[in-house]
Amino acid sequence: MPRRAKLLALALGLATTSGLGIGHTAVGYVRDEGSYFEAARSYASWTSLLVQSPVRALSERARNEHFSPNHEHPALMKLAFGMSGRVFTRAPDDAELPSEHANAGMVPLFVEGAAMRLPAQILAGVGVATLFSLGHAMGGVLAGILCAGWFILLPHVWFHAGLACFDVPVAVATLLAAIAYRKSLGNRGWAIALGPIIGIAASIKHNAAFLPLVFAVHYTGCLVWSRARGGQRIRLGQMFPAPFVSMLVLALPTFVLLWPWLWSDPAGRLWQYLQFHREHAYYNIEYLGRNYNLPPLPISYPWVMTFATVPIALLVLALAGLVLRMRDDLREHVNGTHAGTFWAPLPNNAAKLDGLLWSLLAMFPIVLISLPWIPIFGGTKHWLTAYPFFAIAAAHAFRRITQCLALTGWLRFAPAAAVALLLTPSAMATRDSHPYGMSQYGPLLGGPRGGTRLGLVRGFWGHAVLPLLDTLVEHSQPPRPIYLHDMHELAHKQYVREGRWPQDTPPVPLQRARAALMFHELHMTTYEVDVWNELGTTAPVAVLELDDVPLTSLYLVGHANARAPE
Amino acid sequence: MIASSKASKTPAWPRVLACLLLGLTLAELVLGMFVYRSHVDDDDWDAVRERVEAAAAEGPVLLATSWLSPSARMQLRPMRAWSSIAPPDLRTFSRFFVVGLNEAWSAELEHDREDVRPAELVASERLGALTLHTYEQPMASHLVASLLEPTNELRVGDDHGPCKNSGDTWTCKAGRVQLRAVEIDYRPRRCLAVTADDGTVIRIVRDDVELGNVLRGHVGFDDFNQRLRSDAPVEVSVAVDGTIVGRWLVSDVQGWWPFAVATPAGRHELTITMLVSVRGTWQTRGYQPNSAHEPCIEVRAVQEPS
Repeated sequence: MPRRAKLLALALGLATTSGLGIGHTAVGYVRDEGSYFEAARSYASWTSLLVQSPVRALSERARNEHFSPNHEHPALMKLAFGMSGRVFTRAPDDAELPSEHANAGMVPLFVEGAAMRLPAQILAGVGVATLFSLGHAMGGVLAGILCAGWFILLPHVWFHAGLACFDVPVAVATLLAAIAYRKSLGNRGWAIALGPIIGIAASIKHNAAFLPLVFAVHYTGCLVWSRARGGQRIRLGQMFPAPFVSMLVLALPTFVLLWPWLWSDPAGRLWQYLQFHREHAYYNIEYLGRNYNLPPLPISYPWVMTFATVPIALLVLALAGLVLRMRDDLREHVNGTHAGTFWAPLPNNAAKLDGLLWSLLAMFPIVLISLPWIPIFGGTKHWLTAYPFFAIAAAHAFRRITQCLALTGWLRFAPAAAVALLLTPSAMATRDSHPYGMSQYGPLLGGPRGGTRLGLVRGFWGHAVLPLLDTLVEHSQPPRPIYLHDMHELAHKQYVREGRWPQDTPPVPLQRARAALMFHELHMTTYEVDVWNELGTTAPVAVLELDDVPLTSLYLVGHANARAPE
Repeated sequence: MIASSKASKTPAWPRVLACLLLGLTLAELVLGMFVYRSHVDDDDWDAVRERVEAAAAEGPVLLATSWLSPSARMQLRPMRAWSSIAPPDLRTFSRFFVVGLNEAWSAELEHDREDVRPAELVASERLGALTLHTYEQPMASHLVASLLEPTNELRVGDDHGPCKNSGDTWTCKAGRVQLRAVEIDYRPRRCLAVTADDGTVIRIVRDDVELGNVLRGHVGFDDFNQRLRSDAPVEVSVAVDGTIVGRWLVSDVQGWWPFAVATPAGRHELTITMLVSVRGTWQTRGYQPNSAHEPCIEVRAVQEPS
């Protein structure tokens, strides 16, 4: 890749991380982040102990104590969140510090939550730079920009990319693991490295644990195709080659090594971890006007939600890219003379079937979520791992179209205009919906209003609240103990640690509340009715909206607006 | 321009795909400019406020764009009334009003219409982004009396004797009856919610109440969590002057279930009996009697046109 392209990739990555860092200061803490922050602080304190007193830190008691919080997810990202928090946290500037406030780090740049979000935002930047590089390698700068923009400009990707969560990090890790796998088919070093890379990816989130299966299907396809098309004899070394041996032998130890919680009882705790996800609690999900809280969720759910949240032109381009790449694969001349070995099972002249690989990686997460026996996990974040491969396919389609059309004269500027045009609906949707990107829907669906009319999820994570805190501050006298509804108590704790939560508004059960938050969702009607009964009013004093769609309401007892209904 | 020497060799699919993408992108851009912005601002609410408050004197004001409800309740006083938020049905409204963003009717209103002939849309007034629609039902039933109010005229008892009344709540030895809003089928309803031990009979009596020619009511179960964790039905019976005139077994899959019985007009003693088969719900930690699967009932005496 030319130096200028490398610099551009770096610039795009940095711009993404900076944009997320700045933009997400307006994004409230989602439910899961509250738990991850708490765990991250505990894990980070273990790393401090490890430096100060390694023997104590490595004792079973210390490991169990520090890694017990949130042990249903691997530790790697939370370790990164915690360490970033320790380095970059700025203490609250309020003179009246809360009793449990965040301490300043060595480089105090951000509030604690923002500091802990930084590792995920850096990984998103890495993802963007990588996608640009892949696109650039296929079809130059424009294909690179399209590839990177296809991914990061989607409102749901942008929203999740800035959070201290695992969904965009694991999407980026999946992309990097796929690149490593592709290289490992013809290179000894990459073949050995593939196992640890999968171990690291799975240490971010369990989605990556399925990658060996996807790679095995692809690899088998390549062998069968070489045999069928080129008459290539399959050698013994190719039957179980180095990349797969590496994944079999090195992935799990790497995974265990990166998660000290497992060290005391690896088999037992791994089993617990698997059981937790196999028997995951069913969430309430509104889909086409119906609340689902028991399996099965309709098979169409992830497909319709993808259609509803990704601009259609980008989806068409990506699907065309998958088809074109597979067609190109099938047309490629298969060299009958390549000699695959254990270390290089598919050397450079062998069929690699990239179209098949991209399709598997793009479709597998969506197919998996659509299976009727898979627990109801929630929204689009669970198949974000598919999107980098749609982005690559879109860049391929773009290159093939521009190649075939061979535009000259003033039309030679058309590809640049086309990239700008193609990415604009995504950018518009993200700009419009930020900081509530999870509630955004595509323009053909009618945006947030269209999604709500159709009865789709509105935003179930208790994060759309920051502007309401100002209203709470205005009305904090007399003291108003508040019912947090769907805001996680640990997310509330994070606001308190940062000095951002209004004083005299402690969280209480609804029966003792004088104020209440309400995060709107079909099944939340129950809780809103409870608020009416307990607070004696049906009138909120402030409603947080996205394009008219109410996301969160604030109720206050004693406010002029809040009279008993007749 | 496309190079002429290659034009004859260029397959059609790139052009077709490029045109399709261009068309889709332009459509998304144009639609994006329209949908990615707010359509209802404070001025729109101000524009509709005066008319809605005037309309509320003539009949209930309902909402066609149901998802706007929190904003509507914040902005418009009449939309906070129980008759607006949680009407049992539409059959007693001879004249009512509907506020909508782009809708004049909704699936919720259609559900609440039940078996009554569709209401007649007599006027629509555009007020900013919102529209106020006026509906009339010439054949509407006349509301003679409601069991829900006044609550101080109700006598409630269980198998052990009379229950103690405090405001809208009756505390019994084997349970509790409370007039409140509940969620049934993901919609707010206002009714008498009954919590009672397994096999307990709760009796709700109005000693001397004016009846019309029909007694209409609804039964449902609160709330979605408890409906998921118990399927136990409730037996409901209605007696006039001690004679049972209707008895039903109702379960939570029936949603907001309507019932009707013919009644003799005039003043009578009305008794509603509810036999709660199973009080609690089955949670992950086993059967929980205190997480009650509560039936809820509303009853009205109406005079229906013959």
